[in-house]
Amino acid sequence: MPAGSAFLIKEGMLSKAIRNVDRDNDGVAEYYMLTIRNQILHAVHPLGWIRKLILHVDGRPVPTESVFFVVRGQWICLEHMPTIKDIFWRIGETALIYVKQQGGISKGKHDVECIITASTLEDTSILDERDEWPPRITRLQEEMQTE
Amino acid sequence: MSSRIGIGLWSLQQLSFLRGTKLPEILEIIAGLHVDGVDIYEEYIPCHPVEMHELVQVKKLAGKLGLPITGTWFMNDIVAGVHASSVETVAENLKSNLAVTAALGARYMSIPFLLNVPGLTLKTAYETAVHVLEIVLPTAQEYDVRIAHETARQHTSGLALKIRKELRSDFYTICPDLEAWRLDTADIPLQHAETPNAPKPQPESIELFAQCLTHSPYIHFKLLALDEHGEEPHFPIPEIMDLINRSEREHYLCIEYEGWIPDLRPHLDAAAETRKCVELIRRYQR
Repeated sequence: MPAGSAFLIKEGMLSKAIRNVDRDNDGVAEYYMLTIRNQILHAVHPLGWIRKLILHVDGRPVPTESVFFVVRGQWICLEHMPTIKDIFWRIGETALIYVKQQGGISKGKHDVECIITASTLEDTSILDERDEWPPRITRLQEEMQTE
Repeated sequence: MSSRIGIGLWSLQQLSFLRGTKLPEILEIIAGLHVDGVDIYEEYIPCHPVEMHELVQVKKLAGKLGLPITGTWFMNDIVAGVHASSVETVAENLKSNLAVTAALGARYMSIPFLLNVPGLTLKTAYETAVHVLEIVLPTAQEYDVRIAHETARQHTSGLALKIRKELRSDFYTICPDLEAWRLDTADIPLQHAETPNAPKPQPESIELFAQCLTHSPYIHFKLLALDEHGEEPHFPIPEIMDLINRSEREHYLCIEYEGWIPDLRPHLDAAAETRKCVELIRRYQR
């Protein structure tokens, strides 16, 4: 485990763009999507190692049941993410964060904050399911432009 | 006796973050350093899930570059793992990673020895580790892979010595990590990412390093920041290298350059600094 206190490289993790997504091709976006790149220092972890992920857009928290963390086509609702033991987020891999919102997000600039709470249980294959280890909380912030 | 030098992939992880560099290119960079081996860390091993075809390709590529894969490193913390799950689960995870290590043709599988379990006593840590290792070591022997228990934290080298004495198996080796001997300096205080609020540890003694050497064919040579003379003032390098040079057994020194992390010298090029680390050790080798 590294010296110091940082457990990830913040800069460059969050995308600078948000995109509206019309998955069902009905002409109306029902999601907006941003990306996050795995720059965690020991970079391979099951998704459940992240005990909590909170998204704020323009200063307002987004309900966790509306947010999906997508890795290699696998959609995991944030509510269930702490239970995921065998989907791994790999080094340098970009995950997609989809937010369900009818009509998508407005054009223009948006202030996005992503607060990651990770466990200090350092084992790749075992989760801190009882949240016994002290958490590490990191705030990522980016001004994003709707594409 | 002589020592050999290898590079742990941790040294060059910066390249993957900043430039998206993949394993094949990193192996080529390491081959260019003309060292004796490479040590592949879990981040770069196709093991979640295990992809046999990819494992074989990694082994073939390293072989083609003339770079023996000496060791692997997996984030399997025995004591924490048992606390959070069960002895059986931890033992199965270790056996699986021993098989992966064997498939790569490596002789050592390094795993960290951390003590950041809530409420843990050293007695429980010792007993838990012995219990799990007694289950796992026959598999290590079957695969001809030695567990190298990485002791980068205060108290863990002493515990590992006690475990080695109890187990009496050459398939349990102590992997002293220089981090446990690091000095507390103003520019890089003694602090670790997995215990952000813990009191400062004390560096271990040189005498303890000497005691470990008998059981330490594989050593993690953690280095953080070299000065303008190419020396590393944060560790007692001259004393450590003197012991290694005078040791009665051969040692493999796996360089773990860590200066690229955000808290240290992220503006420096990890590949160039790793080359300096190789030169540093070579200056001290006898």
